Amino acid sequence: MRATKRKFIAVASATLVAVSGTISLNSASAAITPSFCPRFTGTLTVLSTVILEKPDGLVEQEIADKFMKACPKTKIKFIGVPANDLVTKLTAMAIGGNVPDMYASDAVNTVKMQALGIPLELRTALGQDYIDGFAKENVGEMTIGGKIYSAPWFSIPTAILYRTDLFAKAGVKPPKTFEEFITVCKALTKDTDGDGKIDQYGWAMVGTDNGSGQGRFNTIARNMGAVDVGKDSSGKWVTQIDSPGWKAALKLYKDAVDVGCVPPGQFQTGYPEASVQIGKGQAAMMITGPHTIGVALTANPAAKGKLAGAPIPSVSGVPATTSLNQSGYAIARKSTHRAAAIAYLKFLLNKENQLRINDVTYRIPSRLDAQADPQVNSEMSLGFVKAGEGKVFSNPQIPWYNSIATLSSPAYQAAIKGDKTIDQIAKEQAEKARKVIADNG
Amino acid sequence: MTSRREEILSSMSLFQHAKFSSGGNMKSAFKKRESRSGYFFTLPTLLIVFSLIIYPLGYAIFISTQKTNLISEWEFVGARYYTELLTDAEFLNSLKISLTFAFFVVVGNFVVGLLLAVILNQNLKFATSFKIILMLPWLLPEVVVALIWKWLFNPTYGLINYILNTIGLIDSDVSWFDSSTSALSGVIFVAIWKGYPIVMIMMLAGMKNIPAERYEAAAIDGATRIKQFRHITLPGLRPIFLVTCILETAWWFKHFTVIWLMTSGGPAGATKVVSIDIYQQAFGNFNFGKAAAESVIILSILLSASYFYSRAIRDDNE
Repeated sequence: MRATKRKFIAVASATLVAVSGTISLNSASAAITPSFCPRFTGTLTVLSTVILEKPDGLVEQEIADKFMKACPKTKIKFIGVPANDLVTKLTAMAIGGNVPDMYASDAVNTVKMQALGIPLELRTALGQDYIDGFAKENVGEMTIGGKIYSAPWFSIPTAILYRTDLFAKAGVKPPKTFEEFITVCKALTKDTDGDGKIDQYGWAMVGTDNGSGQGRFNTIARNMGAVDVGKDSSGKWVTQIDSPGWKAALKLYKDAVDVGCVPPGQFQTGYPEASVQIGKGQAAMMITGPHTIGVALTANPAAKGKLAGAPIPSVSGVPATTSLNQSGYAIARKSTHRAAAIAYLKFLLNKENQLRINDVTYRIPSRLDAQADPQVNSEMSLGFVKAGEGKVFSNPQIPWYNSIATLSSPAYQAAIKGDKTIDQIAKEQAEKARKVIADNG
Repeated sequence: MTSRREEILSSMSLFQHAKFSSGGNMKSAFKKRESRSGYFFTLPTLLIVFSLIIYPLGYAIFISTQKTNLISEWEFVGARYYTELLTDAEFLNSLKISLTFAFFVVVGNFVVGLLLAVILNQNLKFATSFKIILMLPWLLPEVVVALIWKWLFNPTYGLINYILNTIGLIDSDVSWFDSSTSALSGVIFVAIWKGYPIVMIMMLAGMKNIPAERYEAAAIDGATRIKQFRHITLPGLRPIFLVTCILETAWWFKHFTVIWLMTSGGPAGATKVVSIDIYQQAFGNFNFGKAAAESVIILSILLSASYFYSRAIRDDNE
């Protein structure tokens, strides 16, 4: 009996110790789990374009790792997709009914996905106070009919990225007109080591037949006074693809190649190749956003402090125009992990993480608190910040915009090849654009 | 002997007939049971054929009559896309490029494959090692092949320009894919490099099946090696040649990967084969109906081609 009693006391004491231990452990873990962590236990799937880029992807992974360390119950799994293939991949996923919990979304993609009923409305999900913390122009591009379908993460306003050292050596300044652009481009093209071969070119032209080339060309065309599609005074969709401005943009591409100030193989020079050419000093300027600074420095760290931005020239009577080219994240309406997605989104967009991605990649944060930080206006990215503060062109919010945007790349390739006249090319592409408008507009 | 066997079989048949004719119901019950089990045994194959071939084909034809985003928009447009396509200069040009590409690749594969098969059939030393080395391009994934050649042809850091520069054949970097002709020739060259091994192996297998006695008899009759090749090897390879031709034509006519990765259909559409056009219609313009209509047209072309090939094979066998 006594033995049984002793045994009972021993078991009871052990149980008490174990229970109290568990309680103290639980309370300890509750104390160290930050309040922003979701209750969700499982994996959040995120479709990202940034994750594939270097150094940008390393920062995104670093932020996700920080989140997972703070909230160990939630795992984040990235699906990488090249930015130029985002719409294709996402459309295929939407058709297959397997859209991830969160997906990268730019302004064009936001419209497309909203038309398919894919994204969650974020004004309600994030709260108006939180929405007020975004820069207005950023959130505006993600808003359709007063509803917000993507949370902007950063913008990369298009401007001229140039090598200050090479410009100084050549004794030229960033061009203010398109005539100057060609003159400067020629002045920067030279044989620097005297072996009889050109080894430095003026313009790292992105001449590939993809979104990277199309976006850059369309920005130049806008600064020449032509939009690919827009509404006229009566509210009808019209194209200016056969206007003098668009033709002038085609001529600029052709002239630059003809005078030999573009590195050979421009049709195979995509965004990554052109960024490396700038980093390594094989080319002195490029039409691009501030994110190229990070890529160029990865290719050649010695270029640090030798890069700067300047606005793209514009023709007389047309204000210098840029595009924000922003990207953010949307949450799938059908995601069963909404709360976790919202928690991660807010973590990604906190000031510390916004400044972290800006520090490494020079992408301009979308949140007002981060934008106000002096770090954002660093010497190398200041030109891009200024460009973004000027006239910003936002693509029209039409799900079929991609069908128009893609008309530019075969056009500039044909203009460079020279098999057809610029007038012929512009006429043919304008006819296609008008057909797209007639079919959809 | 044969007549005795026939007699036995005939008497058995008479016996069976007598047995069952005494009960007509029994016979029909047996036949029904037999036909049911026949259906039962063919059902798995029918299901597989239906779900993997008939349904997707039928669905593609259905989509080709719709203006659709495959999710929320479905509007019947009938044969509109077909009529549009058959008068669309750009689509017809893509078809022309596909035909040119497929023609040169198939011919190139046959020339290179046959030549190498003849060499390998000579009982050379290390023939097995050569076979393995020559098969390597076929074993490499198309993506890898396209990227390797893209880098080799790159004007600024490609090995081809570097070598030509070093040996003094060129004095400035050549942009290999900047003109229509060179871009198309480039992708044809890479496709031949990737595709000749399968033709080589098929031809080699065919050559091994030609009886050696024919060559011996021809040699005794004084036929030269070239005459032997023309009058024994080539006719002996004809059935394999035709089958390989069907497979190769269908494969390269709808080819996508190598061209897309090397030129994306450029410059300015010079290498835009019809499969790239289909992809861009579907995932660039999100016009899935038109893309499906293009696919159905390609299917019809390839079906017609394979019909003529198979007739040629049948005539050959007869």
